[in-house]
Amino acid sequence: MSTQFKILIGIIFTLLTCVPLATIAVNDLGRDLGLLAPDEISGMERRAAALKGREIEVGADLYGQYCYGCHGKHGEGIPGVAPAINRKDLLDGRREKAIGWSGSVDAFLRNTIAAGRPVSSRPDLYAAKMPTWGNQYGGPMRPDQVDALVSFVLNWQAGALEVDAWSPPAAAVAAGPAPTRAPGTAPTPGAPGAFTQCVNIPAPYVGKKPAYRFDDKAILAAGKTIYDDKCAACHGANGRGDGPAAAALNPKPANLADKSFMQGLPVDCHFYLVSEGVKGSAMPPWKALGEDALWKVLIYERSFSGVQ
Amino acid sequence: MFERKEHPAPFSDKMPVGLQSLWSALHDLRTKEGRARLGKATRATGWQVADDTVRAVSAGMGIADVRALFRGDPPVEKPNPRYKVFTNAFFAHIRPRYYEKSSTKFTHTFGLGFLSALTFFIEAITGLILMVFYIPEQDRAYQSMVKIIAEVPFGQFLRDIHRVGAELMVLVVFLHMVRVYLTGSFKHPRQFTWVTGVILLIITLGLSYSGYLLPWDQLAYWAVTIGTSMAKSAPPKEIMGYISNLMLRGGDTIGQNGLLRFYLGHVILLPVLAMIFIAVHYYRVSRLHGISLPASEEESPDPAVRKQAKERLDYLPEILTKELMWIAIAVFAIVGFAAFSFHAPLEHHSDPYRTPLHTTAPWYFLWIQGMLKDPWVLPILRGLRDFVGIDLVQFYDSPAIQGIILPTLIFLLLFGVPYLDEFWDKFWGRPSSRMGKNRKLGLTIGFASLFLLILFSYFGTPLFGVSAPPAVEIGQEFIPEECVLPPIPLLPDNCGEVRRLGYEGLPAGTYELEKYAAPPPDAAPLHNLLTKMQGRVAEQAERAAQSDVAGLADAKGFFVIEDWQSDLKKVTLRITWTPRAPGDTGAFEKIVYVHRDSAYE
Ligand code: HEC
Ligand code: HEM
Repeated sequence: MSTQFKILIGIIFTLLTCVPLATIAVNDLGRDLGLLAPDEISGMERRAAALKGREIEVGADLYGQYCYGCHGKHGEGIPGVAPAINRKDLLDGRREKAIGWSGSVDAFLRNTIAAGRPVSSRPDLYAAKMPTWGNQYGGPMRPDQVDALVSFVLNWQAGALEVDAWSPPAAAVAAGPAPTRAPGTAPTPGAPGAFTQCVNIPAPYVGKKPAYRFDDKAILAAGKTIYDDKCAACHGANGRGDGPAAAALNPKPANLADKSFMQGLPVDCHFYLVSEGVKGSAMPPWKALGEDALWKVLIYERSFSGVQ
Repeated sequence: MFERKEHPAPFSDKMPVGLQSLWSALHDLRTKEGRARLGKATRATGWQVADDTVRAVSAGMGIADVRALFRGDPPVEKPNPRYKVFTNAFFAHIRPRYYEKSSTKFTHTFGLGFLSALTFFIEAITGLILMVFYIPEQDRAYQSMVKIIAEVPFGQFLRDIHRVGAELMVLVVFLHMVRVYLTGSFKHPRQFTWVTGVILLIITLGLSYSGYLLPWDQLAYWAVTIGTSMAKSAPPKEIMGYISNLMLRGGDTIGQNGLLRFYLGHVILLPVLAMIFIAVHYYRVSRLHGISLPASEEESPDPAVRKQAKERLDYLPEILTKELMWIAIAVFAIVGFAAFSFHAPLEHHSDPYRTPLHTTAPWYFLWIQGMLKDPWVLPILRGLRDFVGIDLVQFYDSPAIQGIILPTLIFLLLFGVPYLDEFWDKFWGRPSSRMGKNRKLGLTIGFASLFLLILFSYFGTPLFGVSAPPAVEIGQEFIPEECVLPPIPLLPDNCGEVRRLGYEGLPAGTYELEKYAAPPPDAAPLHNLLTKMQGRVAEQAERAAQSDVAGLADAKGFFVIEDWQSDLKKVTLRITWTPRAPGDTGAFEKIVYVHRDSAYE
């Protein structure tokens, strides 16, 4: 091969190399170079969208593992447990504005999810507490997982529900039936037999009895663990209805240490109320904990008054 | 420049020569012929400066000679300035003044050594640019990969080239070694060149493997986790295993420390070693010994053939232009391939709590994984133990032997190839020969090793010898957790048929697989997929009908697609069967979400 022929071939291939390079340039910089109509998208934008889409898929998967138990399958919330997060005001910034958050919506979500809310904002509305998820605060999730959840939650934006998850206590009554606080006959704690709900308890609950003895130490210990975790915030460590969260509640939580009150609350009705929640109050349904756990809590609760 | 004195200056003798010549130049400007003289002088001076510059840069060749070089003309000056370059220029020291003609035949080297060096330089250049965007930090590394792909112009392309180059480099270096072995070029006097070559092979594998971790996705994390887990068993385990695991991973598992170590190894330690050893290797090959001649010509009985083979082919310009041409062609091929038909994979973010179903080593280490699964040696040793009473199993059946000691021995053997070869010839008292017909044993061993390498690599793939429970395998086939990388480099990955159908191809509904046993001729793609799934499920039901343990009794499948969010669908594959063993739940469920944009091809 002559020198010039090799140089010619070299030049030809160098020029040919410009073809793929130009293709990439158009793909990646099409927008910047003004080669695209407004409704066209460039290769790079398509890639960004694909990665965003995959991130949302990851978020959906995490949501299905960690969040739906409190916030509902589609983020619609569970009355009395946790607020809806598939919510217009949360995703369009009204909620953030209302509480004086000056950052962006996604920063609000990221911080809320990562840090959780160790102190409940409204124990009267929601019995659960938003757990801490980010591993920088001791939670189980890496930052990229929190990011994925934020992308997933934000993807509700288009069809978000217009629900009032944080209605102020007074307004809630005025506004009529809110999802969490249907008006009902509020029981007067302390008065025996005051529970109108005990008059007609549903058939499956009638006559239900625990499988455990009321003085079984192990059961009492197990019950205490659950009680301290789930109930003490409102009902107080000793069942007097004076937990830290009780101040904000109306009606107030029952005083479980009150003998005469407890005598008006038969075991089956007690179990029914714990399972299904008390209508017209902040007491949520706890069915999800499972019968066995509920019996243990119930036995522990009844140990405050000694009424069996 | 400073010697003209036609116009004596006023204070002539006292003035410095420089000012005198400036003075006379100014004088010249006044007359026409003066200007002509001045023009000629400046042209000459300018040429002189340019020529000097070119001479300095080319280490000896003037402009006229460089021009002649690229036109293919004979050198202009005497003595031939093209040779001067090789004594004066720093970089030319690792290039030869000439090669012997026959050693440059394409079918002798296939340009593989050259291509090895070229891929290394491509990696170095693209790698340097990628370093600008990459963050070696465990919480941000993956995010920086996403940014490179989605936000950096030419970012994905650079990544693709870097990946193609890396796979190619391993492949080409290996093939280069095979070529050197087959042509017998490692023999005297090139024995130590072979040794530097084996060092380069190890560096190349190290470069590729350390780079594998950096994307910090599941693929990276688990491939490196199983690789480094072998280091843990280096004997004695309590000392060497512990120390090497600690040094590699920077802790018990790979985390921030491990990532940083691999990163620094990948961008500093190994590239520096590679540059040093490539320089030494190149020096030895092209300066010290020259490339070997084809054996048939070197050992030809005909002196004319031997003489002709040794005819000189000057580096300047023949070899230089040839190399430049090959660079242009190879770069075109790599760039075109990366641009149009290859994307470097990026799986989900690494997750230490989520082990993928089938983790594999990178393809070039599959043979080690294959040795750990080996189907022969162990059964034979077990036989020996059970029937003869010689218990070698306890020694052999350990990751230390199979994952560390055997591979180390193999590499030691590789280092020793030229010396063992020499010993063998001396032992039998015959002259060393590179001709194939005189190397029957050597070539047989070579081909047998190649065959074993491929065979054990196959054993290393998930195709061989591992299988999860049948329902899990069905889920993996259609909806793999991650897109599955084939065991052969540079082929596209397989994301499973469900993802390939994509958002649009998955209309919401609950599909009972039984009803889709046979598709109509013009069935929709989803229908065909359901039929295929039903086929797998029915196969398991059939197996169960014939055996008490295999298969899934009365297996039934359901495929559910739900609209989940805007542009997001939830896809569930559920398989139920009659449990026959305690602990068998009789149900399997695999859930995957598919977004409209997520574009898995
Ligand atoms: C144990 C039940 C529970 C779980 C599990 C839970 N949350 Fe919450 N979440 C709550 C409660 C209760 C609140 C209200 C907290 C408050 O302000 O007191 C809340 C609040 C929120 C808010 C803020 C809503 C607002 O209007 O300010 C977001 C966003 C949120 N959660 C997202 C998530 C995500 C994402 C997950 C899954 C990783 C999750 N939550 C898991 C109970 C839970
Ligand atoms: C980064 C890796 C390597 C580079 C850049 C490289 C480069 C080269 C080059 C350019 C040549 C000239 C001949 C040719 O192009 O084939 C060569 C020859 C040679 N290489 Fe390599 N090489 C590498 C790895 C290896 C390996 C792994 C081995 C063997 C284990 C090896 C052994 C040799 C030997 C013995 C020669 C002399 C061959 C002859 O004279 O015909 N090299 N190498």
